[in-house]
Amino acid sequence: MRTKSIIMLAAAGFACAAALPAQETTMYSAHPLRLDLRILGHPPLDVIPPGESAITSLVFGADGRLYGGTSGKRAHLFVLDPRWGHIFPLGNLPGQESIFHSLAAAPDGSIYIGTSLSNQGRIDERGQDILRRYKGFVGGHIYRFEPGKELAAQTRMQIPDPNRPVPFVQDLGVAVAGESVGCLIQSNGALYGVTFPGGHFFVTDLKTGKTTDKGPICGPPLNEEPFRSIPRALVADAKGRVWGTGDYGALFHFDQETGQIVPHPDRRIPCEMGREYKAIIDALVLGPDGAIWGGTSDGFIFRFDPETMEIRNLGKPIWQQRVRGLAFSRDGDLWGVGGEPGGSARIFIYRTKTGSFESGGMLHVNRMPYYAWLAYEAETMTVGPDGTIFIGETGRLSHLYLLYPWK
Amino acid sequence: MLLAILVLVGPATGQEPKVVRMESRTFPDPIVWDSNYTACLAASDGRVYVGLNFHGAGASVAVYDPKTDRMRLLGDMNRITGQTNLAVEPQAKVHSQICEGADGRIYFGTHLSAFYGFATFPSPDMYPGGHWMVYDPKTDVVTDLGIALKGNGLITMAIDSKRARLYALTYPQVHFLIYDIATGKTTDMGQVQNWDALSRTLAVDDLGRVYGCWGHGKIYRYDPEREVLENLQVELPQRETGIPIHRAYWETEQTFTAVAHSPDHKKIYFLETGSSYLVEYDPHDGREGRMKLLGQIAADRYLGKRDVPYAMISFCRSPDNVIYYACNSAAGNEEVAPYWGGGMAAGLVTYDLNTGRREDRGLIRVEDGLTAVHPNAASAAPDGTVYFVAHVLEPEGKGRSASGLPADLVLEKDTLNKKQMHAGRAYTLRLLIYKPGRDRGEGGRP
Repeated sequence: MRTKSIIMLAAAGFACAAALPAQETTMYSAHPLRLDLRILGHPPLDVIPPGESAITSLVFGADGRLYGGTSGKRAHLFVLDPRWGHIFPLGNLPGQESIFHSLAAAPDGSIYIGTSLSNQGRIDERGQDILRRYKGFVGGHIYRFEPGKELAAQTRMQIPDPNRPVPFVQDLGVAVAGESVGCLIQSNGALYGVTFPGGHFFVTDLKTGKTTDKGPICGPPLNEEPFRSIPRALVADAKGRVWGTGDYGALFHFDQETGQIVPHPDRRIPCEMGREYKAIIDALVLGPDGAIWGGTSDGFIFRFDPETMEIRNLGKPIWQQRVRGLAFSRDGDLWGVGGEPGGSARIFIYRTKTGSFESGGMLHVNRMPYYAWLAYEAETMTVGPDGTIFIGETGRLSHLYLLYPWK
Repeated sequence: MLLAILVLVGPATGQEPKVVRMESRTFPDPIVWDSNYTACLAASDGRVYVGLNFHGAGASVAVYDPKTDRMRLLGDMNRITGQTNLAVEPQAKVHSQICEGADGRIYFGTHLSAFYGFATFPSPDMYPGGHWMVYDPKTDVVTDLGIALKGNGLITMAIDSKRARLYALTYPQVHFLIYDIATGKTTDMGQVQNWDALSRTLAVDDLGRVYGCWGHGKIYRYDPEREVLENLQVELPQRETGIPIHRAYWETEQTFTAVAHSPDHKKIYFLETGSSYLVEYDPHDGREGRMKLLGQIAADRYLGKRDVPYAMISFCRSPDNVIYYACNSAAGNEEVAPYWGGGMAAGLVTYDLNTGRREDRGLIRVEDGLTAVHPNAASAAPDGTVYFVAHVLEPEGKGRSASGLPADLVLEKDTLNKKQMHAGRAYTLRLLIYKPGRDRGEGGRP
């Protein structure tokens, strides 16, 4: 009996010890085993250069590979094959400087790319001066990239040069004249996007390559910056309706049957009181329950049921504003990354079964003495077929973070 | 335990250590100032400027005039920057290099102490940001030039006096900043490194190009003519990675801790962090320049060994073309703390750039035989006097408690080892004055 008690005490002690997180004096990181990172290429030569590496788009292709788009002086495309786990730069899009929330995967394996003027430019040019940059701007292009041809050509392995253009890319032209592509998704054989700074909703038919401008989804500027209330994300529900937000964070949807934009002025995303006019959707994801889950510019998380039209504010998991990326883990929990420009990115988890938030800490990987990196800003998140969550850092020197929620 | 420590700090070999003697001066309010990093400038007029830190409160800058042998303070940086009673992280350090402009004005930056914890970084009581500051010796006025980058302190600074530009690195986000003195405009060139391995100094060559380390000892370069910040492949000679070097395993920085320049700035001398290698860099040799290892300038007792103490910023070139380096060392076989070398002694090592002769001048002692430790800044005056800033161990009750030394870096841990070593010890921060060849007892025995 006594021996049994001692064994039980020892077991309890070991259990407690195992539950202790890695103690650090004043920094709170996500569980170190949950996070890893990848450099964008193979240094020293075949790597996306500093100032061009901010990962502002991620999407999984029909081929099971992760594609990433960057912003900076030039926009690059890269690929990660989960079977290999490391990143190949695919080249840059000549003349283009940003792929912001605008990679879309088609069922035939094609990757569609929307380009914009860089949102990651010099800090002293942010704000009012952004509109100045649009004077004389032709407009963001839509490109079609064919991964199968690129893989067969094995160009990436033969020319370790970040200056090479992305091969096997077809330019489908400017989406909306003078406008950047601010977000882009694919659904039912078409691309759907919203432009910046005008907030035009557009549809591109993948068969014809023709783009139709459906007009602005918001009115004159309401923000002091002065940006319009232009969504940074769109999502298609199970019925193919494409959802986004406009002025005052009010939802709209685009009906593929009628080709019309349907506003829902009484369905608004959550925000801090008094800041309704500033409410912008940051991230949207379709949940396994068929509902739409979103994150807002003020840092709130919400669930919207497109059938009952019920929108529920789930709260604000981080102190900072901006929820930049959301993804569902295989066990049905909602993971997110948020944080302000110039701030410090944080991971959070919404446990859907209990309706509670958890802090996942900072985007800090520490594999010293081999490598370590703390990311301050992250702009995009997506989940792979095996449940790995990928997060794109958006600094001058950016990395792709891999998060393993099951660990 | 105390007895054990006392035994440990005694000479282990039976031979008395070689000693170099220096004069020293305490700063006004000597019990207040807890530390100094990098900030020491012997200006062209002979006066010496020293940044003084006060974790959790306002920093200051001391001015020492060797003509009058008097010292005074330039004021409370927390007050000058308008932060009194704001309940935010204070301007607790002047950590950056102190730089002299072509007109004789003295530039420096303010910095945070991380006293409230790094985790508050994005919160409302976060550090507002380090300020560009300037002191005009003609008018005796300190002017606040404004916040450089929100939330970040100015950890290191350099000047291009021809272009009237300041360059700085920030902490913790390690952005590379340019301050144009004429227009007062700050340009943020973005992140160049991560918080745990940033260059603690910046170098400027004769063309005004600025150099730092971007990782694994590799160099980045900012070219003001092209306005391009680029990562180069040229790298510092360094030792194998992953070796514990009196520090914890996670602190294996591969960068340069300190820099010095040839008089024409056509050659740059780096002190590598983990190895104490002295490296000559010729930025004009080839597209990316060339590194040449001159030698290892740790104290003799560490030469060729694995446990070389972390290199200190107390490194400068004197007008007679000699590198002076006050290094972490040990008096006996005492154990050392994992951070900042931590040995309970400091030594002086010189390297004559004219002859290539390296010399360990011995352990640094000041008046009354007191021991200098933790050297952290150095500057050579035009008359050849070399100034260092270091802690001096004081008799118990006559200084600050050494066990209360602040922990700065996020991952720095107040190890039991460190606590034991500092238990019962007291220190003051002092300006050390070394006149090569003229100091008492140089090279002799105590």
